[in-house]
Amino acid sequence: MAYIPVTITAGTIDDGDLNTNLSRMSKYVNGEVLGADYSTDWATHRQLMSGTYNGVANTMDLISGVQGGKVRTAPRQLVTFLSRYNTCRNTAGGLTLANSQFNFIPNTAVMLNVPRQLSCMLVHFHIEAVHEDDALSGTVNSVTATSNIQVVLDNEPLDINTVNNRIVSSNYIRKEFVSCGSIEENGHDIQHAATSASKAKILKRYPKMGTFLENNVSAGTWRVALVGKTNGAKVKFIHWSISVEGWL
Amino acid sequence: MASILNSNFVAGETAEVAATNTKFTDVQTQTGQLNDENVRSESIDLWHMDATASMVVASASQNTEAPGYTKTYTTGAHALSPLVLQKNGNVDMVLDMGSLQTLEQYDVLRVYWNLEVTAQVLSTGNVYSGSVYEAAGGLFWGVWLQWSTNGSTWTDVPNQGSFSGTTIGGVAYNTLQVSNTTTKAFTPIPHVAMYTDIGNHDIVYRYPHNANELYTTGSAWFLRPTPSTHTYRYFRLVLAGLLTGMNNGASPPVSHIADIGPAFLDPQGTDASITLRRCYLAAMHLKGA
Repeated sequence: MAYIPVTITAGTIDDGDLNTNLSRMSKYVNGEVLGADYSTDWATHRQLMSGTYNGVANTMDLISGVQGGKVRTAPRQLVTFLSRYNTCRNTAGGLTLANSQFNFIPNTAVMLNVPRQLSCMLVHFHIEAVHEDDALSGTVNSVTATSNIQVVLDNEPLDINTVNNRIVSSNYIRKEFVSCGSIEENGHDIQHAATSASKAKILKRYPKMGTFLENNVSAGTWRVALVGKTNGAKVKFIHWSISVEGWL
Repeated sequence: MASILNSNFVAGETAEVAATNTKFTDVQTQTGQLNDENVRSESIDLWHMDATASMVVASASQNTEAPGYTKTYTTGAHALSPLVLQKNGNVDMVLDMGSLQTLEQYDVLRVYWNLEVTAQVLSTGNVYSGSVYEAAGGLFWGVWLQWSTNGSTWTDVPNQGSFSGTTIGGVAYNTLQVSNTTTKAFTPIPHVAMYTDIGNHDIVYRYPHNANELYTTGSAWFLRPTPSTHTYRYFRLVLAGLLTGMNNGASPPVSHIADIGPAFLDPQGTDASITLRRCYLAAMHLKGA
């Protein structure tokens, strides 16, 4: 409880009053401070170590925010991927990439517990992917296949209906990300003296990266995930990294 | 842990000044020795944070607004002044922090940007050869950050060198001196990528070579003033090009990034250009001590 001294009045000083004051002081210091003794919302940034950020190493040193991240990389045989078979299957039936549905890209989500409204959330991400198309043109040829990838932030459990139909709001944020028809992994003739000597895979990777800042992010459990759709056979994600910061 | 073990006053006894004061100074002493044991059940946590006392002084972002909006920047258009990156409607893309901000000592200002390159076009006179110094560093575009207090008068951010007219070997160039301390907010964008085949031919691709090879790039800038302070409200990105690395041939050489964009003006050749899409600029200003 809060320390409330007995007021000493004029005239003879009563030992009881003095002892009560001393006793209350003792209790206060000796560990009987209650949570209710604190005024509401009294702790500010002045009570906390100021945060620092190292942009070179992308590391933060702070006790006043939340942070999470993920780095995903794998051998080519094990990479996570996106396929038209679950996003844009029926191109013959009038379905186009534009009106087909987004789907999750496995192993790309980060979940972040936000205890109270954040002043600001900052997301950095990076993708390196290659495109493989085995059917649209009859050969491995990425040029005919395109895809669209977006980063979504949601403080409700993510499902496909959510991803495709929710309206962007303070509880659902969507970063219009780069179209990703920008990648190709195709057979390329290496010629010598104008004679085709061998075929080799030339892998051209066009990296995607970005920053995304959102103010006044509400409390909750936020899922930050990568979703996408493609009309190609496979978009393989060679490398994916994400870093999320939340500041009170 | 601080602990008070004072004895009581006794009724009927004369209270001596020294003894009375000691009872209170004992308390004073102990209150200076409070530690985690004293407040173990009342520690400060996120829940106690004043929701109105954010760690963030200000934060904001700006982008080109329309995802499909593209803008082509040419060497001929910018002459010796950098071009301001634009947003939908062909107006300057300006990040407004909402009000005039004061960057206090130990505050941290972090600015990030990214952009997507959708096309690059070489000049017909794309092989540049200076009259005195060769452009040995390859060709690239440069994007960097400027700030302003009023939205009309702009300066390069601190630690970012600015292009200025310099004479190198008797030839006037608009140059950015290469330095470890003055090029911290500079994003170079390669203008071409060259693939050399084994055999009888070389392949030179524009970068991106076709519409399916779009790529993104970006950079960041940080400032933690010690001890000076700054005021600002607006940010914008500017672009110049084509640039190339040069040095003056002295020993040791003095290196520069030289703006040779005017070399691509007609009649030397068609303007070289770069087309950008989905530019994004975000800033977060954190409180210091």
